[in-house]
Amino acid sequence: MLGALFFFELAAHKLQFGMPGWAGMMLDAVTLTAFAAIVMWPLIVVPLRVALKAEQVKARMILDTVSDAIIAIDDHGIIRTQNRAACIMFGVSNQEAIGRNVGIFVPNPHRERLAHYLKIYRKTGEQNVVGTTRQLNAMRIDGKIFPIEMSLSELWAEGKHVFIAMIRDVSERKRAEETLLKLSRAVERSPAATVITDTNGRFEYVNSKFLEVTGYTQEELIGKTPAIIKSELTPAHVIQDLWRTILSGKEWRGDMQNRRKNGELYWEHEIISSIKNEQGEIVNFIAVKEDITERKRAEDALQQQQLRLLETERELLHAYESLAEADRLESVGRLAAGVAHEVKNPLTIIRLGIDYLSKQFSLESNHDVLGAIRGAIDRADNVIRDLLDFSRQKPFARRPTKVVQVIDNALLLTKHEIERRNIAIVTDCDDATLQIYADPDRLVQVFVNLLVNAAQAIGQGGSIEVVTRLIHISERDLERSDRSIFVIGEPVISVDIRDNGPGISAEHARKLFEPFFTTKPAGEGTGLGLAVSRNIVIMHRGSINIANRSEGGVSALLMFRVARENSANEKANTGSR
Amino acid sequence: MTRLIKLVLEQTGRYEVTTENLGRRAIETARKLRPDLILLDVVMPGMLGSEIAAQLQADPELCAIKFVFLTAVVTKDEALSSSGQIGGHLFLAKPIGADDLRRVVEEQLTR
Repeated sequence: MLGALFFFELAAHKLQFGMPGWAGMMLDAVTLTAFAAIVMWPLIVVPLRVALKAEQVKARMILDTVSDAIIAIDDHGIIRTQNRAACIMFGVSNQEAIGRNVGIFVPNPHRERLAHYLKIYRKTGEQNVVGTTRQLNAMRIDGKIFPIEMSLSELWAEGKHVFIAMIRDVSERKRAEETLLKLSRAVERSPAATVITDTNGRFEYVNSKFLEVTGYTQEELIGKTPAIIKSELTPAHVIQDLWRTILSGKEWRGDMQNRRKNGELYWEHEIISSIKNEQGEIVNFIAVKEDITERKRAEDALQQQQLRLLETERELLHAYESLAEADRLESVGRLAAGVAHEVKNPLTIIRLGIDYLSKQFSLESNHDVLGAIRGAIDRADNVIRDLLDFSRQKPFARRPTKVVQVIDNALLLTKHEIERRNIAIVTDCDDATLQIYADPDRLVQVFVNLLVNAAQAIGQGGSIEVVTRLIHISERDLERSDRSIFVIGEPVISVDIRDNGPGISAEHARKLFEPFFTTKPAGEGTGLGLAVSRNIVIMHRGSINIANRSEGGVSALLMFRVARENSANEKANTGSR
Repeated sequence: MTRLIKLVLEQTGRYEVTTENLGRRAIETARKLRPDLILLDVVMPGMLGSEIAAQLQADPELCAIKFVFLTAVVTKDEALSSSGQIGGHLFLAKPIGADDLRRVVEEQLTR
């Protein structure tokens, strides 16, 4: 180049000799300019080129760091360029892609449609895809189809119309969407009523089962909390415990009795837990409820049946015992008759003998001895009498009996004894309908026995009080009762026969119920009374306790279970609240 | 016992008492002796006093004889409450006292 220039310069000089002066100067100017240009050219162009290249590289870098795929196609669909993300997304290199039709990334039938659109565009210039974002399926080079989101823009470059497609692989998102849809459908259709609230307990979401169960509509629940279905039968401490548990992030499980919109009560088993955000803060509460009204009803029915079964068991036992008793009685009856004869005959001989001897030998002066012998004969006779009485009774048979009637009967039978001693009788019973399962003929014997004992202890004057009450056994009551028969809280009828006599000594108290133990003078009483009475009480499945009163005198306390009719009434009363 | 009854009654000096311990011989003895009063133990080995009473009443010769039962199975109270009668006949409850015995015998014989 420079060589040529130099030669041209020389040639020009040679020409100068035949040219006018101004032409020679112009020629110089031209060559000088050309020279300058040739020298300067690289100095201008190279920096420009470098600058341009730098810009190109920068642009490329940006394109390649973008995570979305960018593909530039012409109006025939031929790929002009694509970024690295596109290469990765579709599994091709730039070299492989450039020059190919973009349709290779589009599965049918969309491939044909795309070609069709491009064709229309080329013909009419019409297009309606630019500026839109569409969801469609794309295809990797290996044939795998995946969902994408695509937006198109256009630009002019080098005189040609170029479309730029920005593509995002939405497979992850689609999967998440599908899962979400599945879950929300599951909750929506769940047979368990489900409720989601905010941290204040206000409803955010309720499923249709909840609406069905409670009878409310969605509109009616807006802004409300689950308090709307709470019934007053749920104790306050349960609610407090619930809030405490879920506010601390733990799960609460429990049964609650709630109320529908129509006022109806129903039982639910609830599982309430909290939903936390990524920071671990509670953002929602979710309650899943199961209707257990039927189950509770079945449980109650089962319990009732069990109670009934227990009752039946008890009654069967009693019936068996009555039968055994009757059997025993029959044996005793036969025994008693035999004993009566075997003992009374010798007694007769002794009596007649004594009478005869006392006359024969003027033994009347031995008054004490004769009296003692005669007294002994009487006592022996009384023992036989009690035995005969006992054996002659009908078999033990209980039926619902009004307690006051038995007591009145006993008072009638002992009227004479009590009145002749000028003893005042006070009866105290607040409920004349109280009933127990009793054999009234036998039970009256017990009361008669106790009344006579009380009267004899008093002697003259004084008073006897008969107090009848329906009580629920307390620990204190059990001390004067029998723990093997009664339990705390059991409804029981107590009859207390109190006298203001001298009371019993500790020594006697221990032997009270022993057969043949008596504090009465010779000839009065066999000492069988209390033993027999106690037996009768035991047969009635009751308890008897005789103790001194703190104010003096004796208290004979009897306790019997209430007859079922009574307790059924009780249940009805408390249940109606 | 029959011995003592005899002793007690004869002690009064007013009665003559014959005892018979075998039930089946009672009717024979009654026929032979023609007593004014017969004291009958209700339960005897082999025979009931009521049977003897029935036989006595059935016999025209003997039906006029009075009798009193002696029983172990009835108590004194019961005896008192039913004025000492069972089925129209008088009875004495064992163990019998001499006084009651003499009283009843006297009453029956002087009626």
